[in-house]
Order: sequence, then structure tokens, then C-alpha cells
Amino acid sequence: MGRVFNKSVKMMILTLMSLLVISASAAVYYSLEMTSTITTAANDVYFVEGPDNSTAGVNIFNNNKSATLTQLKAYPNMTMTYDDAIRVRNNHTSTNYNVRLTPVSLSGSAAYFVYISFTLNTSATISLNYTSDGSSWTTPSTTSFTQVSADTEYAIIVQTMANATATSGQTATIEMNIDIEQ
Amino acid sequence: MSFSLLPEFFLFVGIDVFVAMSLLTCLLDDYFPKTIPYLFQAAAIGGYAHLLLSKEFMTLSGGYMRFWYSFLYLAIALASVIALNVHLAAIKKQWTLAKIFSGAVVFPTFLISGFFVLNYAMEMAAAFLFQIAMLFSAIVLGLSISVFVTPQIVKKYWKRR
Repeated sequence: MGRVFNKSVKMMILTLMSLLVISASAAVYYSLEMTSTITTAANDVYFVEGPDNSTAGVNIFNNNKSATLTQLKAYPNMTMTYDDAIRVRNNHTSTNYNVRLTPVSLSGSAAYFVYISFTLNTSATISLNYTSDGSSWTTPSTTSFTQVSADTEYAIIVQTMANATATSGQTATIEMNIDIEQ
Repeated sequence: MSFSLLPEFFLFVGIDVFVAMSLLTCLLDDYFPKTIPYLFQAAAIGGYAHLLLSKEFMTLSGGYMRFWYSFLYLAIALASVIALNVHLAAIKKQWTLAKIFSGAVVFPTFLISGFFVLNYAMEMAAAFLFQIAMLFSAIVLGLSISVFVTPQIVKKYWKRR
């Protein structure tokens, strides 16, 4: 009788300990599954100024992640081309990245412009071409991805044309993103 | 349903094996030394500490290293299951009990561990239903072998041939 009692007590203690160990282990394993490690990294693709930056009024800020071009001109019935005002640089020594152009916003009267386009020439050409029919703008859709090779810079070509009857001092403001695919 | 196992899963399986062996050796305490259940419990608690350390130093040790130290723990747990079976058969001379033990405990434990290791290695999809079905069939198979295959039957079979 005493032996059976001893064995029962032993079993009970071991069972309780087992439950404790298994529950604790399961909890730790579950928390392991929920663990994610996120490491900050420097951006490899960013803007740099091209030789024509002063003509176009290029201002690069936010650690080269944002840029404004405030001196772009559009002349009536003439195509104005800024060949190399701003560039996209892939600063990584070995990794190629894919980038695309995405329109964000457009403001300004369509009555004074014919088109404003932004073209990035890499192995393929991607372009955002904002066109006006004189009354409204046609906003382009997001481009496909194109590859920017490691340790290489690519110029963004900007072309503008104003309406033949456009008066001086009219403005259009365009905001666009360059998406980088990791 | 597909899932990807973490290497620490083998630690968890190893802990479970140690805990199960602790309870089993306590039940069969006539055949095993009295300290064995407590040693297995200590090994399970050691595995828990191992799991905690693995979590804390996860970023320091790569996936390869995590797999090997987890797998080693599981291998030790499986080796202890084999050792118990050998103890029953060779030292205690409990042939029938050893057969039942191998059919109901050793075989399913190895099968399940092998399944998870294979699953991890091949990143295969696994269904829990299949896993449970496999567990039951393994136990039934193991028990059937241990019940029906006796030295007399084996001798008869060889005589017929």
C-alpha cells in the first residue's frame, strides 16, 4: 500500500514537472516563431546632381533621398530638354537594383502646357509623360521596373513644352516617386 | 497547408522525448534504476535552458549552427530511448517487455523524429492529419510486430522454408 502511494506521489510530481517544462518550452518556442530581426541599412540608390543641375534648379536633400527641380522652363511650341540635371545612382558595389517611376501628384493649369516628361535611360527606357490637351492633364501610369547596375549613375532626362499661347509665369508642379525593388 | 520549422523545434521534440521517458521509467520503476526518471526530468529542464539560450543568442548563431545543436539534443534523447530498450532486453532480460517497448515507444519516436528532420531538410509541406495517422499506424504496427512475432513463430517460418 505504502509503495503504491509512494509511486503515485512520484508520478504526480513528475507529471506536474513534465507539464511545467513542456508548457514553458512551448511558450518559448512560440515566442521564437514570433521573433523577427530587423536591421537598419544605408540606402544604396539615391539622387546625385548632374552637370546641368544649376540650370534646372536642382536641390537634393534628406540624405539624397529627395530632390526638387525648381527652375525648369517650358517654352511655347518649343521642346526644352534637360539632358543631365539630376541622376539616379546605385552606389552598391555589386548588387543591381530594379527601379520604376511612379506618379504621385500633379497641380497647375493644363491650359498652358503640351507635355512634361521624365525619362530614365538604363538598359531599358522608362518614362513618365504628362500630356495636356489644353483643358486637362493626362497622368501617366506607373512604369515597369528597369535595372540600375551596381556602382553606376543614370541621368533623368526632363523635357517640357508649353502651349503656343502660353503666357509667362504659369506653373505646374509634379511630384513623382522612384520605387526601388530590393 | 505548408509551414516552415525552426531548428529549435528539434529541441522541443527532444524535451518531449525526455519527459515521456521520465514518466515511462517512473511507471516501470521495477525495471529501471530509481534515479532515472529524475535524470530524464533534469535533461528536459536542460533542454528548456538550451531553448532559452538559443532564443537569447539567436542573432549570434546562424541557422546552420542552430540546427546542429538542436539536432544533437534530439539525437541524445533518441539515444537514451534506445538505451532504455537495450537495458530492458540485455540487462533485465525482459524480452517481451523490450519488444513491446520497441514497438510502442522506440519505433514511433524514431519515425516521428525522422519525419520532422526530413520535413525540415526538404522544406516540404506537412499535414497534421497525416502526422497523426502516421503516429497511430506506427504504434499499431509496432505493437502488432511485438505481439505476433515471437521466437517460436520465427523458428516455424524458417523451418517451413
